[in-house]
Amino acid sequence: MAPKIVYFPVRGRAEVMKLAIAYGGEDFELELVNYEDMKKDTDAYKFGQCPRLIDGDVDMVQSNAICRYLARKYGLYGKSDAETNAVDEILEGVESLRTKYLTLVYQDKLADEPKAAYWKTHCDPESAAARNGGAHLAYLSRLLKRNSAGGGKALVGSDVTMADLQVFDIVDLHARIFGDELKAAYPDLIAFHEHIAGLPGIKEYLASPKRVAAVNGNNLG
Amino acid sequence: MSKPVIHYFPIRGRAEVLKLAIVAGGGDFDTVDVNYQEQKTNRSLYPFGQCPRLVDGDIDLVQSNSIARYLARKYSLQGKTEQEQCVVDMLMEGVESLRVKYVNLEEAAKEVYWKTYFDKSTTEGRNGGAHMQYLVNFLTANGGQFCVGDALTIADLCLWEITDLHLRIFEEQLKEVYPELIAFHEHIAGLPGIKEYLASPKRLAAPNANSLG
Repeated sequence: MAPKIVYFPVRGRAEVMKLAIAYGGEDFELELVNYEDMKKDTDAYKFGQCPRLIDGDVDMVQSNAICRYLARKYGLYGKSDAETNAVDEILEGVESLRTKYLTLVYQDKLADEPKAAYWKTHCDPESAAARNGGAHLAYLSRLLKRNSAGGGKALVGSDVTMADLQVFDIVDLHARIFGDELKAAYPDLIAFHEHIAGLPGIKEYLASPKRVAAVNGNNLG
Repeated sequence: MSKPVIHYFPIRGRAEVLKLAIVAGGGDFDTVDVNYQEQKTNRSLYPFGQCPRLVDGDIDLVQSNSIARYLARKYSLQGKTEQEQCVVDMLMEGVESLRVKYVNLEEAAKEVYWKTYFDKSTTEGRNGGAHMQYLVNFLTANGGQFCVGDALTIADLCLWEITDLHLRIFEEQLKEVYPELIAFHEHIAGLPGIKEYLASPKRLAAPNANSLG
């Protein structure tokens, strides 16, 4: 049976799992979450949140825990202990940036002023040594460059890992908001994004109706 | 096995779970005060401009939860089956959600903090997935001694440490509302390796960098 994702009808925190399943060559089923259940049924929704993944015996929540499960399932967690470490580092680094991104979208409603401040703090290549809570696109760009085995197409080793799918998604989200600036500042991340978008499984998924249009729950982004 | 070296500030902070994992695994560690200038500018050693950083033989890595996962594999604290690993990962994320709230806590907001993240009547409220009851549910469903399976995992150490931090602030309330958590905290504190570490000078006095907590 295909893995089932229970979530809202947005990309949000389910998108990377969908990419992983598509790249892993499987299909997935999407079920809209029942908000009442999510808040009350702590057996199914252990932290009162979704997405939730059901895949055979596995029934779990916490998006990054689900991503790690799928990474093990589809061989996207690196080929050695050192590579697994590197994948985990990048998952944490993307999460730091995602937290800032979600604040920009949900709390700051993508208004001009916070948007400009966001670019300056978390994206502008000049500001990477300043205070940013470990959240900066330059860190991800540098990790991509540093991995000579990947040649700009993989962040860890020479094959696709969960780290690549996370970085693809966070770049994708930023490209929607900062298109031109992003292209000028990070051509490497743009090229990487194009490469991942063309991978077998992912290419078909991105062109299909399963790729839902809404990025976030509030029509922004 | 190589002896891990932790580069960090002279506090417990985000290195404490790492130290607990090493001593629970029967290992020992060295600590080095981080060079802040280097941390901010050397992207090879500090890819995200942050610490702790762990150096262990060929391994050199940052991001506290990534280091915790590496140490979990090294000392077999990651769960024995695929199912157990999934639960360990869920708990780590759940503790992290609460930790983020903890590090942002201000003295004046203590009452609201307790109400939002600890009061048993608020688990269905808005809390960003951060509530002690969520974590305690895993513990009680699994018998009370360990969070996952029948042996120590990194999830236990994460829960122990976040409990320890909150005991310093909300001792009376915690004892009253979460007795099972207090019993768990005592049980873990008495485990071989951990017991000796907690009584040693290696257990630093300062939990945070601003002399609070």
